[in-house]
Amino acid sequence: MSRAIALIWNAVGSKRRLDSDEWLLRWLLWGFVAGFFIILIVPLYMLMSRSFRNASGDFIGLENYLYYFTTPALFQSIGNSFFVSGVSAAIVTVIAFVYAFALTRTQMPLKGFFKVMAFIPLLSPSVVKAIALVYWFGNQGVLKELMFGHTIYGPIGIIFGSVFWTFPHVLLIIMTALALTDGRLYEAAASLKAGRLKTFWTVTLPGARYGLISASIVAFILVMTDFGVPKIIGGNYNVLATDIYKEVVGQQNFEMGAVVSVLLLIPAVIAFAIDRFVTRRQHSSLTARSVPYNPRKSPVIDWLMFAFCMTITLCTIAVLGMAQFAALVKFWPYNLELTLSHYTFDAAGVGWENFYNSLKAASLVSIFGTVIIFVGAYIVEKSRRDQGTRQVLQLMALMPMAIPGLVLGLAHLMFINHPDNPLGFLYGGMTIIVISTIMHFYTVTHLTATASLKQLDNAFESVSASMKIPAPKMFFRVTVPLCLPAILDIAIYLFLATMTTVSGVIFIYGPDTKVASIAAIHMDELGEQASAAAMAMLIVYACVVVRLLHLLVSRLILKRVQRWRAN
Amino acid sequence: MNDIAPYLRVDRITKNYGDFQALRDVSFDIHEGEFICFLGPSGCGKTTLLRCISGLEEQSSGTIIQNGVDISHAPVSMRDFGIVFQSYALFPNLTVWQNVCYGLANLKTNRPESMARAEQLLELVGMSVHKIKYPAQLSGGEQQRIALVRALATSPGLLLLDEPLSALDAKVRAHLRREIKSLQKALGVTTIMVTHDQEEAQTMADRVLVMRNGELEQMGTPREIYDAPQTRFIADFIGIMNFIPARVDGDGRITLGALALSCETRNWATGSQVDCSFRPEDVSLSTSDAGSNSMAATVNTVEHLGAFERVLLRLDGPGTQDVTVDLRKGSDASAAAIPGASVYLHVAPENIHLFEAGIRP
Repeated sequence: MSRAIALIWNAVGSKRRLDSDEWLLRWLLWGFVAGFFIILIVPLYMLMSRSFRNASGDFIGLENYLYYFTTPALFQSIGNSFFVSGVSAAIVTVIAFVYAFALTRTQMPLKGFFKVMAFIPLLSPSVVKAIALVYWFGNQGVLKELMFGHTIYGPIGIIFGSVFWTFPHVLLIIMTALALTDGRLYEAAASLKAGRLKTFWTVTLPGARYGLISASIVAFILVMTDFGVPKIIGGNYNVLATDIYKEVVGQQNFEMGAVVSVLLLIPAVIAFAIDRFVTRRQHSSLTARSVPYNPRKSPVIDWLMFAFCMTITLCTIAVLGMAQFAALVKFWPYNLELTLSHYTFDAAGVGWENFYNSLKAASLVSIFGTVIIFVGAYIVEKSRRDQGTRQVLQLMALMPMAIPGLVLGLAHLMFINHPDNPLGFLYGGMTIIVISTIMHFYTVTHLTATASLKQLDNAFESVSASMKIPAPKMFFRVTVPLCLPAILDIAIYLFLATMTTVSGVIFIYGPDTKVASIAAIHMDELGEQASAAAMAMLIVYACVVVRLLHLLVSRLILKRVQRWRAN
Repeated sequence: MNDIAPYLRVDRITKNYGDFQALRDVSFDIHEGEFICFLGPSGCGKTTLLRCISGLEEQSSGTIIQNGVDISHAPVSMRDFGIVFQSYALFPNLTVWQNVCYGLANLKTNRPESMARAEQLLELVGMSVHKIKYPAQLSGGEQQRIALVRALATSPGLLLLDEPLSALDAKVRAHLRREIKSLQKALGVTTIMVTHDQEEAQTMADRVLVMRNGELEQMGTPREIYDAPQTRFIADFIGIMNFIPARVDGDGRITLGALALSCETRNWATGSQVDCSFRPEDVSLSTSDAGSNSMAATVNTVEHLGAFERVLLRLDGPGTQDVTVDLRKGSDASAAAIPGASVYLHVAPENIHLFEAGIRP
């Protein structure tokens, strides 16, 4: 930090004149810092300070916390949250590791198919999985007997559902880690006559260990901060995420909601810090001279892995298929006739407009978010001046990752509801949903953007400036075309994430801006599970269509890029 | 030459990064049309100096005057230079022609005229046929030619080359060296090139500026730098030099152990511990004692390096002083250089330089 201060001081003390480009970049930089301050820092501060106040706003120190920790009904949620998160993280990490191993280290057939199927759950909100589980294992479920008298409503259901929806996220991290392993290590092991098992223990596992740690931390935090699954299938089993909702929406007790939020924020921040530390160590282990690994054929292992992946894939199909079936069946389980009537959504306050709201929100987040995030990353990565301020911006861009969507949403609710806030008119509108969602998903996309910008030679800007070409012209003529694949990835990520998110918007939607994922939860609350499933499936259809569109556009762009590269 | 105002005057430039001083009080003048090389080992500050001149880096103190204008605090876009980087920095999504014309779009001057110039430059480096190709379709050497043409297309007053040849293989490098040099001569553009390759600097530059630890060590023509190195560092850094511990014995005399040699002692005080140094090619070798300034030695190994032979010898007598001698292939002396043979080395007094004693192994 002292280094940053020294850098800022240097910049202030500089006698250097700035040209119009440098002024533009500086203004943009200050704009971003101010934006983060208003949209992230101030609301978080308001949330935290609220946890130290009573209902009338007086400072009461740790009294709320004392009350929380002396009320068993409240504090036992902490144990519950840690329990389901820990168990889910352990299970999903093991499953995802085996799956990733099968995809990267064997000659299993149908690898491409399994790869696609693994990421299908990303296209659906967590609500879908919870509803499907209810239909499979609930009180009137098809496979209720498999529960042997236990109920799916509670920790078992939360763990099942969580494992399912976090699987693609975890798989992606582990696959990346496994892909980073140097093929020469396997050649060395083979030349030393190491067997498959020994190679696994001495090469594969150590090579993936940072990825495994990182993956389990991410899984832990995803489950810990998820709202959709425990809300629908948690029954009376309280976890921190549902507690916040109950305190704020059920009891209108914002202070206690703030306390629980802080308690949820602490492990999230710690886990995030560990993850950043671990990820940083992982990068140093691969050199430019590493060679890709080509797995050997081994019928036994290949077919074992095939059976495993097929089982997981069948689960995916079973879950999504059941959700779809549930949406189409007239009256489960008594009348299994198929009907489209659940898609009319005649429940109170719910309808197709919720789906349109989702599309609208996702499109706006995707368009504005991509522009904002890419420009922000460009400033951090390519501006040469104001290094200290840029470091501040980089730090702020990493913060949203550590903040659970529910906590951020509640902070924004308190912020926008504050009587003195001139932005209060945004309450309940689409704007605040878009702003809050962009902030919620800022970090991942910012990292994607910076990674792609880092691949561009920094000398581009220098050359351009030496030829007196304005920075914006260079940005549009060179930077944007070169980063187009990454820009598209950011846009699709934002779209899908916004379509499927619940926790980010549950506190800030208004009567006219309720989105489909929230509507599904509300219909489930009202006992309209078939309609809830129908609404959730609408989200899936939209995500699939947009994802296919993205694939198509990406392929076209790739063709263009190939033209620059091919001989 | 000194009565003409210099094209570029760098005056007491200092650059600090925190506690680290990358440049210390560097001053020099460059005249219009000169080709200057900044030469030095990595970390000596040569690239930082170039970046200060271009404005990509800001000096902590000192002034830079280009063509009579103080540009010390001017932003990059208001300075007059073209730059070529080691990485070429060609825009991969633009064709060769689009790259070359990239900077012309913003020129206030006659556009057709500058296009014609760009065309002509491409012709000069033999790249006209590649106009519609993308950079990735060209070899490294071709890409660097395009980068050079792009930098020159806007007719800058100063051309900056930041290790432009380092990424290329030896043959291409030697070829491009000559090409850049002849292009620079033809256009008469004042040029500064940063390099860590002394051969590159010595073959291309009108004057070489040798740097070390952020300081200017010596500036002069390649011949001056080689023949009259002002410091032990330069003597050691440029070419090969034999260093032998010696003691100044009086005016024009030094002793190496029991051996007395005569040489120019300049203002070294009698009794000073010095290093007596001479170039390998300034030594003659014979089988008989040639009289004054001779040293008895035993041949250790002989390396055959194409046009000449490099002979490694050990001086006879106490101590284990090794000497390197270069002999023309096929000469009488080279015939005498057989491992194990006892020979005599002779160095003319004017070829012996004295430097402060270095660190003894």
